[in-house]
Amino acid sequence: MLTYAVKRIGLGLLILVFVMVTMYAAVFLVPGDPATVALGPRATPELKRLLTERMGLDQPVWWQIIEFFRNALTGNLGYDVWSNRPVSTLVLEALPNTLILGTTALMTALILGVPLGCLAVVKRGTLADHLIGVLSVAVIAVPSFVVAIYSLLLFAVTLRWLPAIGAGEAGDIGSQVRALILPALAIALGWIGYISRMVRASMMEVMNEPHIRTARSFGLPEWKIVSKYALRIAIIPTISLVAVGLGGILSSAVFVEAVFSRPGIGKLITDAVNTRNYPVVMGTVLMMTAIYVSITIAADLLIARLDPRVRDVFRG
Amino acid sequence: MTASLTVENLSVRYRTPHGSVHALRHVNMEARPGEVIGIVGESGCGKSTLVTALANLLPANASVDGSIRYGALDLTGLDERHRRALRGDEIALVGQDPMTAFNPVLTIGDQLIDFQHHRKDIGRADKKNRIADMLAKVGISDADRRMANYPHELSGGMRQRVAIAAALLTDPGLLIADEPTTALDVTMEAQIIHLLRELRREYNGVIIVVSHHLGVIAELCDRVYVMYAGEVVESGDVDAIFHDARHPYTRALLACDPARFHERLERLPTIPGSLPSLTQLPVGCVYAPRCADCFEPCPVHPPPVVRLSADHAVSCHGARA
Ligand SMILES: Nc1ncnc2c1ncn2[C@@H]1O[C@H](COP(=O)(O)OP(=O)(O)O)[C@@H](O)[C@H]1O
Ligand SMILES: [Mg+2]
Repeated sequence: MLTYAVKRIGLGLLILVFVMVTMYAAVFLVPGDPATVALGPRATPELKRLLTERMGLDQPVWWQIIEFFRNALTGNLGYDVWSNRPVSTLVLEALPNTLILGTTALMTALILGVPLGCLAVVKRGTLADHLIGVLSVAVIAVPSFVVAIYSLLLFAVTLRWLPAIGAGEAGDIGSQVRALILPALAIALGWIGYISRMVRASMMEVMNEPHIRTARSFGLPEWKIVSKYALRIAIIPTISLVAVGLGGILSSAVFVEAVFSRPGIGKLITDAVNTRNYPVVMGTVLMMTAIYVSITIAADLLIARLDPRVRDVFRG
Repeated sequence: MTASLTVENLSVRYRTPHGSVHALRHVNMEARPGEVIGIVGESGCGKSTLVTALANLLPANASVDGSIRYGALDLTGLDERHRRALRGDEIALVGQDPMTAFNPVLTIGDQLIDFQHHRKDIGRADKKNRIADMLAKVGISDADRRMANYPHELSGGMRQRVAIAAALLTDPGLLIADEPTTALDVTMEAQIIHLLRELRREYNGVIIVVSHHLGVIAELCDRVYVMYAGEVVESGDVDAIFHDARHPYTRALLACDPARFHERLERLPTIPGSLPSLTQLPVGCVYAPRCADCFEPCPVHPPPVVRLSADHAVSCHGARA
């Protein structure tokens, strides 16, 4: 298990390096001088040179990359070109909002999606099953920014039940929760569908396995067979799906934060890209990739924990 | 509770995209408490279908005709809730493949505790004690360690012992073992047979053992039902079946039994031909196309049931003479 964890973490670090190199290559390849784009055509050459230097763009790309990682290792992600604040501070300020949003969305999706999938299996072939199926496919088909815009129009603008923008008043949990509902729902909705489909599909497969018949032959109630004997196995592909889909959840967060003007990593990146604030873009992407990679590793370790057979493969 | 099992005119059909599979036709069967019943026949002849019907575990595409009575209960007339109440309480089934019989992600102990869920009167600790006792009975001594194990950590033979222990834990009046040794190697098989023989001495319910291995049947059973293509073609006590078989199929089956060959043969004899299609059955005797003793009435008329003694019956035109 330990060697497995070490291998996975090593691979994760490799992914980080790869992503950052790609990012730098992208900046390098994008046409137009970043300083000119950022400052506009009427800026003085003096000012442009200053900005180019501050962003480190006067150095060769490979040097920039090495420098970036050297600084990152000491916790220094660079400085915001405009405000001169450390990028790490900006990221740490924005991160909690995004994490709360992502976690709430994911939890909502799991809390609703898993039982819906189980229900579809217990009631397989009935109207309830078909209804869950149709609804799931429907919500999967709608992109989260569309849900975001329409739910904002309906619940915030027309009905005025929930706030339209922001993350709520600082220190006021009630208003923060109210500000969270619509953005979280926008991200979660499709995932409820995905998860319920995934749980149903893998559960139906598991329900045909002989050990389920054993459980039945001992007269165990169907709900217990589904929720314990089948779910423990069927949840494993669902965890992989969710882990892989986290990238998707984070990118939905970018859109959704933009729609709801909600402070967070997504908004940080959008703003930074719009103002060609490269250090902020780089630092934020590094943090996001690191988070994504660690969650994927955590999911793999969780799978190894849930399935004793996998566990033994890694032990041996 | 110990009660007799009476199967009357039992037929099972499976609906499939290729038509109806008549897997079981007009089966009659009788078992008294304390008796060990053997069911033999080639693979595909409906042995599992029969015992699965007895255990109320037929898949959704099966439809059942006829009656299965256990004591005063009519099993075919029960609703799902009562069937479930009976499963794992009065009726226990040990399956063929111990490798897949248990849930791979739950410990043996966790599953064996769940399997006693009909016992509302005792707590978890008592259930664990019962498991330890029962594991000892089937020859597993380090119960605590085994309970903490996952199925894949046990050998096939060990798992089959656990499966038998699980079935016995429920104190069933009807214990069914569907090919309990088929998936095991010869030594394991001998051990499991030995175990079942030990168990039958202190068990007073009905035991049904399915096998296509005649040696297993000979060693364990009091009475035998020989099945062919979904029908019981001959039934009788073990001696009658092994020494006075009347149905050509039973005789062919005995002649093919590898255990009966002492001299080394080039290859084992087999019955020529194969099972008829269960979707389109012949009008006369189902065995006629393969039967060496087939004569005029066989392909045209279904054979009569001929009672040779109180306990020995055969469905064959040839037995009437
Ligand atoms: N669920 C099912 N659906 C359709 N046909 C089935 C099903 N189960 C068994 N059968 C068919 O019924 C026949 C009897 O099978 P089975 O009872 O398993 O025989 P045995 O246990 O003697 O090998 C076979 O032809 C098999 O293909
Ligand atoms: Mg079988």
